[in-house]
Amino acid sequence: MGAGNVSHRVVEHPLRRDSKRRRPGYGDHMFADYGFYLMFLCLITSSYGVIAALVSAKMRHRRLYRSARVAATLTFVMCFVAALLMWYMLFTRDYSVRYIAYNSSNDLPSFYTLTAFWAALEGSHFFWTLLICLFSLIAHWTYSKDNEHIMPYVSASTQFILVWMFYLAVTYSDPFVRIFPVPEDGQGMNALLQNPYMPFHPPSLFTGYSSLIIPFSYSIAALCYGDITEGWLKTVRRWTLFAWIFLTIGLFLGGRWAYVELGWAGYWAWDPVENSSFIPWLFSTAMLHSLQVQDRLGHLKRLTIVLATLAFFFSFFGTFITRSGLISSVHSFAQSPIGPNYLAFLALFLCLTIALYAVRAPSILPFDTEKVWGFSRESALVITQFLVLAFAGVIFVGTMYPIISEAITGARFNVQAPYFNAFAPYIGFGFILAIGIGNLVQFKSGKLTGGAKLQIVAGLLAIPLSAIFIVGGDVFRTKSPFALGAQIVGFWILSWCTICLIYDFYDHLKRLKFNTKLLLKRNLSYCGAFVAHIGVLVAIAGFLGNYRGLEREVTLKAGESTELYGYQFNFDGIKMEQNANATHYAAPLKVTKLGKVIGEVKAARSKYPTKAELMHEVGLIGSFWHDIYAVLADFDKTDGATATFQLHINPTVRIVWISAFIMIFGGFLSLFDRHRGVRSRDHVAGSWEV
Amino acid sequence: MKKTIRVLISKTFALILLGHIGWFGHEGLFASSLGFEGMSEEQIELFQRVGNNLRCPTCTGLSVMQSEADFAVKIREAARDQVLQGKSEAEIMTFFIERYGLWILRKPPAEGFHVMAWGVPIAFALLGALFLWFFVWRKPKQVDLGGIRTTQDIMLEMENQLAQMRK
Repeated sequence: MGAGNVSHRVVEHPLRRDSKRRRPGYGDHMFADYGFYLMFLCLITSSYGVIAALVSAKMRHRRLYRSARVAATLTFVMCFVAALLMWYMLFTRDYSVRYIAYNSSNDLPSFYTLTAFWAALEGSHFFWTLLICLFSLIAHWTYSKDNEHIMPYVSASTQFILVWMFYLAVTYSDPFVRIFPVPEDGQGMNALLQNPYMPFHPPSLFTGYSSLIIPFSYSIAALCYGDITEGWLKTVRRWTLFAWIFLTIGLFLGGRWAYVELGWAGYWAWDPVENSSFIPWLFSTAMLHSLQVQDRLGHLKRLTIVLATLAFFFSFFGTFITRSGLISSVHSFAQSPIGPNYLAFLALFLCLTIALYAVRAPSILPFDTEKVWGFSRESALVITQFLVLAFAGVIFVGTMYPIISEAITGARFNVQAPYFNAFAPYIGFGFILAIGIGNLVQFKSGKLTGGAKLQIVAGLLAIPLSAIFIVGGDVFRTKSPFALGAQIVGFWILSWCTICLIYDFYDHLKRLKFNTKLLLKRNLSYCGAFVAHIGVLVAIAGFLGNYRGLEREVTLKAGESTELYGYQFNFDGIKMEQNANATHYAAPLKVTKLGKVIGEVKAARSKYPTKAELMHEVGLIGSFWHDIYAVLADFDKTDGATATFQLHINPTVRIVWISAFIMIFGGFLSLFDRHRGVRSRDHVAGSWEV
Repeated sequence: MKKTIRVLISKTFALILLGHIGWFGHEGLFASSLGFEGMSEEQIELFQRVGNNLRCPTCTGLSVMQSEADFAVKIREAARDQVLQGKSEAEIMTFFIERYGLWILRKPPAEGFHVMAWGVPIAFALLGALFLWFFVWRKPKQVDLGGIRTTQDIMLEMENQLAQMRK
């Protein structure tokens, strides 16, 4: 670039770099208005869709149903265009839109500009609506021939939900509202959300929530139609599993985010929002197990319907309790006066579904099978569901306790982690037992695979296996007798259960004369369930490790060092670094063990241009058995020579992250089983029913 | 030999149960806390137990051990002083409850209305277990369909009849 251009470059001030595109003010382009109109049109098309679908169901009018389907398709297209407009305005920094002015700023990197779409209430609601539209579209176009006659009901129930979502989007949660005067720069995105996990955590959770609409709408359709149709189970199973996978991904990403961003060395705080995202996960887990009984024996059909409805209900309920400000939570960056509306909607939702269930459920009958229950796989599945639902019940009581106690005693009592942690070990214990025995016992006959011999061998083999965990994880450092006992018993029973599961897998293979290919081809869902169950066991092993953990707060001057759990930490002074839009005040600690350099934990505080407070940047190095986790609690702002650290040794956290991959992998394996849920499979597979 | 095993098992369970009596129990399952100079092993343990059951008044969902908020740090220091004075767990908790009310606790005490918070889930679990025992486990159930048959049954019957006719 020549010297003559210097003056031109001066004019291009960073804040005005895209001044050609970004001329804030009313009237340069009307994208925000177009966005609003599109949302309004969506409200109209989805309202039409509900009415058309209901009438077509009543009159059995095929062409009218097709028009309802066109309405659903149009809704998606318009909502998608509105979303594209939103993204366009985010990238062109159109601060005349309130949402954009409040949740982005000129310094925001483009990666986070993309995710600013769902960084606050209106945007995340819009994003959720978009995903529900997408799954409604999928439900409308990917039905099986067997289900064609119940599709009008499916269509009506998905579009009914959409009516509500779009009603909110044009009234209390309008993402396209404008402000005047138009600010020069936005207020910036919440700095907590500027974290690489954040772009993926909300979309995966929302994907999970939204895809629950398919099991929900099929359940409503089954109730309306009065029976479970042939292809029903296959569709419902597939989408429940899909939702389960994405909820799992979302939960673990959220945990990981809390772990690396919030700086209190934990990943799960039993926060109301965490709880309310966990409840749909529990319900979909219970549902997968009741679908299993339904598939094999034709029982528990009505339970599946109830679970599908409740799972979907609770995905809204979580939003309601936090967004209405009824219960405060760390997710309170999303609050607005939509509470009463939500309450009305949820009440209507419950009334309608309960009334429909009361009237129609008696017509849904189980198959006439000879003998069920007793000591058998089906009983084990029912007990598993009971455990899962009991867990959901405890979490629900705990989450709602502030409201319950306020209503009855007049004083609000917030229940926090210790309450839930008092129940969790027993429920976890129950899960392990149910997984172990439930997988071994067979349907109907109740025969135990491997018999008593396996139990003895597994119990004995579990001793050395659990010893590896107990010695490797240094369990005997635990002080409290309860925690020590829980870990020793826990690891032993986990090892027993793992051995039982592996034997069961071996037994399946043996019955197929070790034809692995055939097992994978014919019973992929069994393989997936096996992997996912192993994942759950690994996760519980990881949670158990959290009973022991060391922590030390220490103030160091530059050049000083401290010691924790055999590690030597050397502090060398604060360094300033620029990282995208944030300035980091980093305090690297060199970690050595017995003179050997392990690495560097870089605890830091970061300053974002638009925010006053300093955010935590956690320093973390991990091994298989424990993480070294450092937080910069405070530092001398004048010369950067002294700093206060919180150093944590967090055992087995990595095992928790590993378990997430195992569970998700297992879920995907099961998802790709093309045979499960199809009755004709039984004819094809014949004796291959394993 | 048998006796030793039985004693071992009962002791393990007693330990697990004891850990849950009273307010205090064990430190958190998912997060634990803090470093301190000039305290003996028992004092550190007591301080951790107390601190983990006191909430940070200004944050959501965190204990005073996990939070760096000013208010939480003050409560933490007050608790530390009390531990160093040699007070017992119950005394320290009463001190804080008198000052801030029950609100300061992170899990409900087993008294008054708050018994419900513990009672309801436990009752639910027991009733559920009884329900499962009587209606699922013990009763191999014969389903009466009142004469209604599934399509599969009808098809099967027709096939059987056809087969008989062919004979």
